[in-house]
Amino acid sequence: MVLPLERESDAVEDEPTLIAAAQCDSHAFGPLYRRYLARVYRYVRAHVPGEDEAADITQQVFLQALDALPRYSERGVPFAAWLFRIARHTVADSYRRRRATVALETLPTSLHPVMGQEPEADLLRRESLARLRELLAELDHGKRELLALRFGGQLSSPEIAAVVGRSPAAVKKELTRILQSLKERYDV
Amino acid sequence: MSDPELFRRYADLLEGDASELAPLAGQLDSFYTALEPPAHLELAIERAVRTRPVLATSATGTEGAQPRHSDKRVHAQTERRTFVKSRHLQTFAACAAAFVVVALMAALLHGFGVGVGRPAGPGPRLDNGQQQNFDRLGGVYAVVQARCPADAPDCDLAKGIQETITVLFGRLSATFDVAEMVVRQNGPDSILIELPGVKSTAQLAPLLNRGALSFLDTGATFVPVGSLVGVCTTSCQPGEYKAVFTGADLDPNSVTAAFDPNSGQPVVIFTFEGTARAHFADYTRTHIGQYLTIALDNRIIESATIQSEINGEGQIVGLGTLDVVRKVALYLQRGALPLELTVQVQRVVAPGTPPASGVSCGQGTPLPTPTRERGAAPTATSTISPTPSATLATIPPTPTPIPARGNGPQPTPTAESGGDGCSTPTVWPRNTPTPAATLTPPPTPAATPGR
Repeated sequence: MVLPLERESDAVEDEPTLIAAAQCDSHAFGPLYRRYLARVYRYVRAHVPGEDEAADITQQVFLQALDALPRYSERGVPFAAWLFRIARHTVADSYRRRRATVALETLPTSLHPVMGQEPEADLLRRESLARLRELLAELDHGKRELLALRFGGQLSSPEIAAVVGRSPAAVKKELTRILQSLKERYDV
Repeated sequence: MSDPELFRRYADLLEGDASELAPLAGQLDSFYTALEPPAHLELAIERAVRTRPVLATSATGTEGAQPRHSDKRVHAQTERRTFVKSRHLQTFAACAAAFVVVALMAALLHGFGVGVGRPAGPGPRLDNGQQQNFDRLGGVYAVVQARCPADAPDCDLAKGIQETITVLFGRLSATFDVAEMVVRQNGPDSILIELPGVKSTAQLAPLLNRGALSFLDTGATFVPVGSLVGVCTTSCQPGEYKAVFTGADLDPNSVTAAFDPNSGQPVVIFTFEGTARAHFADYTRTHIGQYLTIALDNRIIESATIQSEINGEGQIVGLGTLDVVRKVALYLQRGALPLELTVQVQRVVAPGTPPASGVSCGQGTPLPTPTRERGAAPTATSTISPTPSATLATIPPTPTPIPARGNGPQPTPTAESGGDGCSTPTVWPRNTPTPAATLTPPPTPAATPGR
């Protein structure tokens, strides 16, 4: 079964309207943040160890975005990239606040259970994801950042390029290289 | 996820020979998709959005005072403010009669212009919610005087004060996480500020600096870092330097406080906006060998030789502490204040203090009001002064961004000396050994994303 696309299918075309409305009225911000909530949360959650902290940071991201929204104009930077820049900054700030007590780059350890019909298949899937988590933990921050933006934030290569300040081609090449490197060590 | 969906979603990574990566991409998708936000988060954000601070507006200003220039930041915030105003129109109407009666009684009892409690300015009174909120929480109360800068001969105080309120509100909103913040006109040249719940005035002063960044054409003249100079835009007098570019030419979305990945020092990165980018490239190409000097509020933070064409991206390093860097970034993001502000009164009002026993603008002891001549050192409202080692360098590939300050403790701003200007400023591309002072184009970005 082909699942509906998480974002591409649900009316990207009216995003400028949503942005314009939210720029004039903070109460019109709802549809905009609901559209990006899961994506931003997943990106943040990939960087912090706890659900509560991830939720707190995600909330900060959207409130900072709301404050900055009147100054936003596209000018070649898509809204998604603009929002994830804020998310990136907020996560970086959270690192600095807790650097003294918490190790950096803690990947989430408690994934939601994989729901399946067969316990054995579930177990294999869990083990497979656990192995993937170990491999991700071995990557340096920059590589994990790209993966979190691409797979957690569901950003395209050009959008990631706008977030991290590199060219789309360089981002795409780096992502492909990361996947190939992971594949060599991860048998799926 | 089905294969067609997977290939559609990650088409850029799985095209051609890379299709063998599809299983791994599917696993990564599952890994990240499993990180679902908690159910309460959406509601929490919605609730937080509804309690954001509201900008109080002056009845004498908003409608008639259009922004003096086409700064989009000002336009956008003015629109938002206008909406907020209309949203509270009914509340204002309902309370208007009561306010009139109260204001008349206060004027009779206490004399014109000498109110008890908060001063009664020509603007509207605060709505009940704002007033009660401040009375209940206490907080910082300040009155600042606005005046035209010496380097703006065509300045219109009446219009400028509305722009100043808008920019100031943006700065305060980005710094203080408080509800029902008030920034309103309090007289022809006066602005009232109330920050409910804020316990110290230390954070307020640096936000009252103009924050005007100027790129000066100083020709073959090296200007020592830290010195104060006269800046002009059109007709220049002897001893003044012409600003060929200003902070308004920068893309506010591009301005970021960041950490330089090599030195670990906090820096401000920026990009020129639109046509200014090409103009800057043209300017640097045609002025090779001459000095480009950067000033913040007339204080020199950099003076260096242009070595070759620069494509419009850059960073300011060596500004000093993280707090200073944040403030400079905030100035550039929110825009410079069109007027100079001088603190007349600033107090911390205790929680639960009724208005009548709060502060008296007329009877209080004003802070020293500095007389700032053209080029004179900012005093009472100035705490941001770059260190002598401030430099402009081309943008590194991936400085680690520093978010704007939001919640949490607000450290006391650092007052720094402007330096003696005796150090040799240097401007060089990233990863280049320290040469003589030069301006150079950006290097080819290296692939080092992230922190």
